[in-house]
Amino acid sequence: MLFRDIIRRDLKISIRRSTDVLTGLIFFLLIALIFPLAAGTERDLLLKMVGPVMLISALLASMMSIQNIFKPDYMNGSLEQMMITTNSFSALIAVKIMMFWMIFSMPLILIASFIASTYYVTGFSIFTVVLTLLLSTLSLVNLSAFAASLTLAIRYPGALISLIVIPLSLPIIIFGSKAIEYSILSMDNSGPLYFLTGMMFFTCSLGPLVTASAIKISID
Amino acid sequence: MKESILQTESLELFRNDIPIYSNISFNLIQGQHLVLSGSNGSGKTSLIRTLCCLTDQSSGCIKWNKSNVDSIDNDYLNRIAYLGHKNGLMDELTLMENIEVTLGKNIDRIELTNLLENFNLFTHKDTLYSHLSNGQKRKTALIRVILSTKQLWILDEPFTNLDVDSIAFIGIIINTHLNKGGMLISASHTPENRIDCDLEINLDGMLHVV
Repeated sequence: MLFRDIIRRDLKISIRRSTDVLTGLIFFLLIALIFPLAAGTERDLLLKMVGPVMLISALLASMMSIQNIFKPDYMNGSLEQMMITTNSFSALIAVKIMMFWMIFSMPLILIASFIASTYYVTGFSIFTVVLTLLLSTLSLVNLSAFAASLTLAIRYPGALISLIVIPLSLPIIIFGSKAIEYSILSMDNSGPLYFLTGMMFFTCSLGPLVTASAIKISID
Repeated sequence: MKESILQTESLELFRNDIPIYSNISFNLIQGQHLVLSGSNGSGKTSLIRTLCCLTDQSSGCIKWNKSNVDSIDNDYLNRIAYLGHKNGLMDELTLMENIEVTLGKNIDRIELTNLLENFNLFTHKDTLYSHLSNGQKRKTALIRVILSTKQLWILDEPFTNLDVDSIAFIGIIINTHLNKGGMLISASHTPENRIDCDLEINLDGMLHVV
């Protein structure tokens, strides 16, 4: 099975199952918009909150939709077909994870700039929010995919995925929030951004490898 | 062309210290059909999955053309087409799209049309897979195997949900595949509607050679 076929297949399926994509997007929107409603609309408070809120909403949204990445293929047997027919299973998993990121996380990054403006974020900081989310969702998707592959053989994993993902994602949440906060305070935020970039490369390179072996164990 | 051969030497699988199957040794050469028979729970599916490298055996080895299948230069996995209990096709795609995404664009179109007509699926080729009946789903999965142009077909209970006409047609297809130098391993728990086989391993008891 060629990677081109996998990409075509995953795109087609996600178009036919567009409600799943929309659910994730609306979930992200609701979580991010519920904070100003609950905490009040003071400008300083919201500016302080926007970083953590963005990151945590993205984390929750990716944990919620990650069930869609391998579970359907595992249930109908096409995952084991892919394992047999492909020459490099971990490369295939890398393609699948990137497809998932494109379908589920890219729309989320696009609307994040609008959400950020409801938090009084203006000017260059909006760009920082988008950049931070870009780097952190790539890491979060890889971490969640790993958790999803570990829980593949469990019929109703429930909160198990969050128990695995949340501790692992802590550094991304912390440094991501700081990157946005420093940018709003007009401070130098290159430190947190370098760290996020490092984490992004680390998870993107190692993530598919461990995910592929975890899937092999689950299928066995 | 070099003769291809699949050999296993005293394959064994244990789960929680309980033997699932043991002492499986056979040589399968081109044009031969191996049937794995036995009652429910006798280990047919486990053995089939081991032969597809999906489950690792506890001991023993599988050799393709005299070299171990898990060695790096072995092209064994490129030579097999596997059909398990699950069909491996997507509910969201139509019958035709399912065949195209699993096989790529370069399918033998004439052969595909011929198969669809013989399986009475031609009018359903643009139907969503989830709307097909179980037998039609199974036939779609079989078409994928037939068109895969792989040498060794490994089929686990291929005839579940199939009607008599389709079984007879697959019998013809399998015979042509074997005559062209193909190989087939199939598992079956029903002695009827079985195609002629060259080797039989009964997992309930001993190895029989017919």
